Amino acid sequence: MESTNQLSRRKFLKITGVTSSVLALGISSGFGLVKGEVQKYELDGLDATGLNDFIFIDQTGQVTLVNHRPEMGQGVYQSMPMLLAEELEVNMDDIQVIQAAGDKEKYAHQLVGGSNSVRKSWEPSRKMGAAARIMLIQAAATKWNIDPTQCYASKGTVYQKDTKHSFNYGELVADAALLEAPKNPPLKSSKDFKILGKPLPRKDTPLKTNGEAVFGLDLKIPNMAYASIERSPYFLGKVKSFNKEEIEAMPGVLHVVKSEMPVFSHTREGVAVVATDYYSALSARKKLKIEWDNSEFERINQEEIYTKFNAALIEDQGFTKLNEGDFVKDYSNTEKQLDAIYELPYESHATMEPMNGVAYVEGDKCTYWGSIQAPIWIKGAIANSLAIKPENVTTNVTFLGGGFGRRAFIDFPVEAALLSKAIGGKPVKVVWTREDDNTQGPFRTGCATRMQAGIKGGQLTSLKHHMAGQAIGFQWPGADKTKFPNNILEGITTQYDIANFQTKVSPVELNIPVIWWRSVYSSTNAFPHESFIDEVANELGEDPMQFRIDRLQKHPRFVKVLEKAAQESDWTESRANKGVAIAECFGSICAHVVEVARNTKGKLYVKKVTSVIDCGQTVNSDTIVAQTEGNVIMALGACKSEITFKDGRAVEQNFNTYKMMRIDETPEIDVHIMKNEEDPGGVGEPGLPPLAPALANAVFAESGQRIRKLPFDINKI
Amino acid sequence: MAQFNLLINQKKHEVDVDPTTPLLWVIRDHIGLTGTKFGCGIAQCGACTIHLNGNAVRSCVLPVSAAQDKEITTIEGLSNNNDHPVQLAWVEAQVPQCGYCQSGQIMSAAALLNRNNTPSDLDIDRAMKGNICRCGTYPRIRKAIKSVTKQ
Repeated sequence: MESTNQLSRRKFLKITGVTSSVLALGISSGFGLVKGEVQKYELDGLDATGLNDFIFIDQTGQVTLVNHRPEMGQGVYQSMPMLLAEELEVNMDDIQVIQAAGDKEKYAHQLVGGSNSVRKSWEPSRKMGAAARIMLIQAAATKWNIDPTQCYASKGTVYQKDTKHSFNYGELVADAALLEAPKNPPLKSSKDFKILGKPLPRKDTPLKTNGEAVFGLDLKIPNMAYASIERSPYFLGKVKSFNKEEIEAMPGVLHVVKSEMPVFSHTREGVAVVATDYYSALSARKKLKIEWDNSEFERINQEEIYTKFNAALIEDQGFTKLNEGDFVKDYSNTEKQLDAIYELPYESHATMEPMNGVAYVEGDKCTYWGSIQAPIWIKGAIANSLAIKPENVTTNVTFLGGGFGRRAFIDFPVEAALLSKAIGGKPVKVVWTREDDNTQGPFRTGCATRMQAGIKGGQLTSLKHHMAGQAIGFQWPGADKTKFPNNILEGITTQYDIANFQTKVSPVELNIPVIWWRSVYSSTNAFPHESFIDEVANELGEDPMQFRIDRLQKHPRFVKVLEKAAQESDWTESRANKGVAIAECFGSICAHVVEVARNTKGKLYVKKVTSVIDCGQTVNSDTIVAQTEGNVIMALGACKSEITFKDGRAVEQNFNTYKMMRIDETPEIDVHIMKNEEDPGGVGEPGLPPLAPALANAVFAESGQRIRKLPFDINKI
Repeated sequence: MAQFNLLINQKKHEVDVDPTTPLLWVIRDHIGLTGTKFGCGIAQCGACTIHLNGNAVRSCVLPVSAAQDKEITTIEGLSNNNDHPVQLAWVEAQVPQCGYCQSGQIMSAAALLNRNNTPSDLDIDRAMKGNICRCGTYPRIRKAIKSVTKQ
């Protein structure tokens, strides 16, 4: 994949076909924000370093989109050109995509996380397409000496109405480029969409079926060395000594040096073996004899972690977020009280592509290439760590072999940059092993949640959701721990109409680094919440589906999603082996109905998942289905596997012990998308949170056994 | 270090490497064919799947010395124009998300269909369960393989 900063002017001209004229448009506030006005860039001074644009149309009619969003499987390589093509009136095949390097001034926001790409580009991308179309139509109208209303655009061509006269876009570019760009052009009504909402094939699919797609692991630059790093198995371990000379004498080994990697407020130390090829580095690393100073590290065990979480729940200190009515008073006056603790495990992201990247520090400059979710942030972090200017750092983005939040963090790119500097400014590719990837973290936090419900007169009158776990935000240097850690109580369906409703968090600090994991805290909060709602419904002898619908009447989108889920899953005909759950995450609402069954040997398994997602107006319906299928499968994996800790170290090192979902365990998945005119919501994550509770609720319906701790072995129920 | 003659995608290559080097790293770092991926290093995920004399094998645990004089096929050599029936089926079913594991998935599927052109659901599960996809493209992998068998 080409990236803007890798392009020479000559190569740029070749790629875009730019000869003399080009229509180049961007967004004033940066492309990555929701708002902004269209602006035109003049051709004068156009060169590789001055590319400050987001779309180009050249005299051959070729459209180039500089895609600022990293592609990690979520489909931006397709959704971004679709948004543009809709208003520009071109075929998808007429748009070529170039991947942008990290640049705050040009793109403002490039982090792919929080399922935000389409949401933030929905308006700006379409505005650029509309502005270009209006300018091209104006250019044609002027040539014909008619009013622009007598013209229309279609498939890269401007036509004069009721005649056979036409110009293709390439023929109009030179004239259009001289016009003023409309700053806020009117956009199409959704009823006129020809591309948006359709299940179009992804532009990156062919590249991903023949080995051509370039991931971070695939990069090779001249004179590049390869590194494998033995990092401290304890988060705060320090290198005391290592057998440098002995390892440096091994075949292919070039350097053996201490490595450093910033992880929030700490530095993770290690010893890097740099060699002429990766296998030599890996082989030599196995012979390293390192003496560690682990005195700073708390050698915590799995049981102690959960003891601390549970102690925090009992102490009841922390931050109250939602506080409707008076939970304490109502709960103590209820006739029946339900009180349960749920536990969720730590998880690894386990992207199929292990962390890796290429860094090249030359004097006061650094170039980084890799599969990263946050090119702007990483640019700043590398600059900061090397004490050089951010403008001297280039962060080039390849395809990502999975991200799920892990690749939004800065640790591994900074580690590579520091290593390149440490070996005298040579280009180096650092490749983590699966064991490195699985045991070093940052992980998704585990947590314990206390759920309490008070029932009076056959009604649920009070509910408390109290979570204890690690706060991502409390790990940063200088974090203000007196303030509520943002987002930590997301994914809780507070829309339920319950008179006395409280949500609370008790942050617990541990020496285990944690970070965002697909759907972040929704991935941990929805399970206790939606399982407990099921417990209450069952206690009251009510249908868990109807119980939810009755209490969500003020939120019609939730009700419609549940009604659709009931209908598509044949809920009313048979619910003896089914469970339902619903959650809102990153602007979208998703419900799953999970159906479990027993095989010929009597073992319980997941037979079918019926999913309904309301993500507002849609871009590519097939991507929404694909992402929801993927969310279901990743969530099922998190119901059956965990990262545990023993003596302060992560235990599950590779896929033989950290069990991934495989094809033979995959249920039938039936995804339905709600159709409406609401603002676009996220797609990459909202399908994950409600799966675990829907599964646990199905297990309860079938067996009477309530699952309050993940992971669990469904075959043993 | 030792010399090895390798036949990869019907082309001869001579490499001088440690005999214990897994074929994966020879293919990727020495030959420069990067379509075959590194996932786990212990034959648990299938991202490194290639064909050795037509059979799907995990190149991350196969020493280069065991591959000498055998016919090696990587994703780059599966077809000339991305037109192997499995590749066409993968595009039609829009299987890939991040795409990283898909070379291995496709090589496993192609090997399955080579020896059994009408696999049952159970055959598909058995042949493909050694290939992990973290994005969860399994429903589409099933669909794509079945579409080939229908042809």
